[in-house]
Amino acid sequence: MSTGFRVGVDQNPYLPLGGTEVHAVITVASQGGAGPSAGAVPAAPAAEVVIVDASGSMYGEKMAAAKRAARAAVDTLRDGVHFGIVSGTGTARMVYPPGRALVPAGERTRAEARAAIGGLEADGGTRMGTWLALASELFAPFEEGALKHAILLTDGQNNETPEHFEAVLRRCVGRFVCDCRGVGTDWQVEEMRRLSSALLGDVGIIRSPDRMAEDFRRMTARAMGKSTADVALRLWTPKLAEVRFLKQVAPSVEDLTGRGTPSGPQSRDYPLGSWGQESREYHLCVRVPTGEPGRQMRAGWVKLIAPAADAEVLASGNVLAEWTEDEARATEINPRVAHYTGQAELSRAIQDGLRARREGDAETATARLGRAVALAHEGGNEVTAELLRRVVDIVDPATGTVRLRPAVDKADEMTLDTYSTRTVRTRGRGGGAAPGTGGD
Amino acid sequence: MLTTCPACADPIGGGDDYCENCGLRLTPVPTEDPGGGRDRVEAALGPLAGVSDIGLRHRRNEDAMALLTPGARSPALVGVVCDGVSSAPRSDDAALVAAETGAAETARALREGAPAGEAAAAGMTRAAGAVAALADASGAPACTYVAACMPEGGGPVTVAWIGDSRAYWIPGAGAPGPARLLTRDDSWSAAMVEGGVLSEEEAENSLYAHAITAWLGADSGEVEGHVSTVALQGPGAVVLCTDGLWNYAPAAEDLAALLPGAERDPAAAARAAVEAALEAGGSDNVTVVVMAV
Repeated sequence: MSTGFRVGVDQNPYLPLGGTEVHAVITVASQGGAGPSAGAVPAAPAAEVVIVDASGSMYGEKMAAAKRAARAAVDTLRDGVHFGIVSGTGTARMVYPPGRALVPAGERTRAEARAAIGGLEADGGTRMGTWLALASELFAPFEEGALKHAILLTDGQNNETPEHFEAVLRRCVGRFVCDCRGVGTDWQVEEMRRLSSALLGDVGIIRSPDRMAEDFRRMTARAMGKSTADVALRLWTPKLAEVRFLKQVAPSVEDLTGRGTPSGPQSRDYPLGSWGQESREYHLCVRVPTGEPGRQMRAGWVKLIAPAADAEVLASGNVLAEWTEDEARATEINPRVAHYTGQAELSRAIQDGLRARREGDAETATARLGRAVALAHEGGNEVTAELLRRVVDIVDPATGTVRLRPAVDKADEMTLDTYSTRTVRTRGRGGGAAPGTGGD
Repeated sequence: MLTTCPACADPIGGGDDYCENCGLRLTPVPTEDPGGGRDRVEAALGPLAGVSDIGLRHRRNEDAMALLTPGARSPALVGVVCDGVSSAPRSDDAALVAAETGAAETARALREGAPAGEAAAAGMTRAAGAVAALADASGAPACTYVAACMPEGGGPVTVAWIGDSRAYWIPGAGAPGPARLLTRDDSWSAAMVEGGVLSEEEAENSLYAHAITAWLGADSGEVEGHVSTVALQGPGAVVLCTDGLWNYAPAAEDLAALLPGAERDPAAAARAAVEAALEAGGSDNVTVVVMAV
């Protein structure tokens, strides 16, 4: 039976004598919509909430663009998708519909929403916890398995105590997916990444307000393209084993290690959010007790689980371990594991480097951003390399010899920061050659 | 039969190859394929058999095959062989998805009464869609495709292909006519030879001899595959293979010599052909599917 999901495991299962760390890259691919009608997105129950920052600083061009963007999002919704528009200031207020319950998209509700968006005014503070709390309330009536997606647009920093914000964020985890967009340069990338990461979304900078509508349309279309919500990765590990880490490594780096909840003896479930027609890759590292030569074991059993009601296993794969005295076999690093180890380090190096730069620590900034340049060069991260070039002068990309640029456009720095978690996938052995040179 | 795990003494439940407590492998596995992957895949379904092997030089088997014999899922024999384009990313996935999708869709169309030519084309089109869907920002996985289907109990054989994986007809003892190639490569060298620009020998020695001009993948543009139905006078066998085999014996007569008795024992013939490719150097993944006619 085809569930439309596949799991692939890439690893070198051989461990040297005394070896305890098993690495694997797990590829999860979804055809988007199960069974023979694959390709056509089934009309899964779906809900969309657009949250627009209406604080005083949004006044003028930014607010005008935000209105166009919110309308673009509304126009992109499928008929029947429940939706609402929220304006966020020191409190959260319904822009449309007036009551605190989402309404199905249709000709009439879209027209009403467009009109209501016109009444948005910039005036007030920024307390994102209250915005998220309202969104969570709006999504509450939708059962598990429904697609629940929010877009949060802001231009500034959050103005509430971290304790309050974190408490709200914790309550929202797993209830809906949220993509965050920052406009201008007065917002904090790390703060928005914290939010979007916890809610399994992404963060992006909108450098010019006139790009906003297109970006909103794309985000909404992508959310509408999902067909399976609330997928989880169930990971069984042997007794006495320890999950050192589980990271999403493509299309972006996301550490999932701390997000597992126990789901049975020696087993934890890690939420993976909503899936359309796409593939994502995960780097798993399990520490196991060492074994004698020739011993073979299952170091991890990965299963993809459908939303809780039926808990159907959509696909599964084995991460194996075998001890060998053959040194060459045991020390060979699987190329995909090597690639994604580099990609995760690249993401960290950029974030560390930019933080050091902000804090005036030029030495650390130069070292970390230089390392990032070398990793981007090695990994084939062309976009990242270009973004790095706007922050540092590159003397030698291969060794990562760089000089900090004295003057850097703040938007360039923030673009690099938001982009830091994006990875590129491993290429075939043929490297950069164009497809068409087949068979080799 | 073990009742407790030899390593941790935990009681063993049924139906799993590993201890549910400590993970120890309880049943022996072939040591050549610890990843549970595709380094070596063999399938023998009576008149239809196939072998896919990683070869000696490659680190991954980017070939794939799918076989269906008459039953609930399929009214006919269906075989598909795909070769992942190694310069594109994740082409091992592309080959597997294309082979499985193509075989299933061909069988489905036949079950619904479509003529063989239409069914074979539908299989290739659906496979193209499935491969295109694998594309993302990192690039577009790509593969070749060659399929054959034949009604249960014999009849004309329909072949569909794109790229440079091939189908050959190998007559058995007593069958009329010589061995022959049933497909025409979508390759640079075939185009050069057909256009009279190069001789066959010049083309095969060219740097671009292995460049293919059409494939399945999001970057291939409109898929223009080929479908051909041939009446074949048995006994004999239709052989589908990747260039990992035919590189060593491009001419039909030479290739036929690698698969003696293919019509009587398809599985043995497929294994023999793969063995021959490995002995000749195994420089590429090699996949052979044999359909007895």
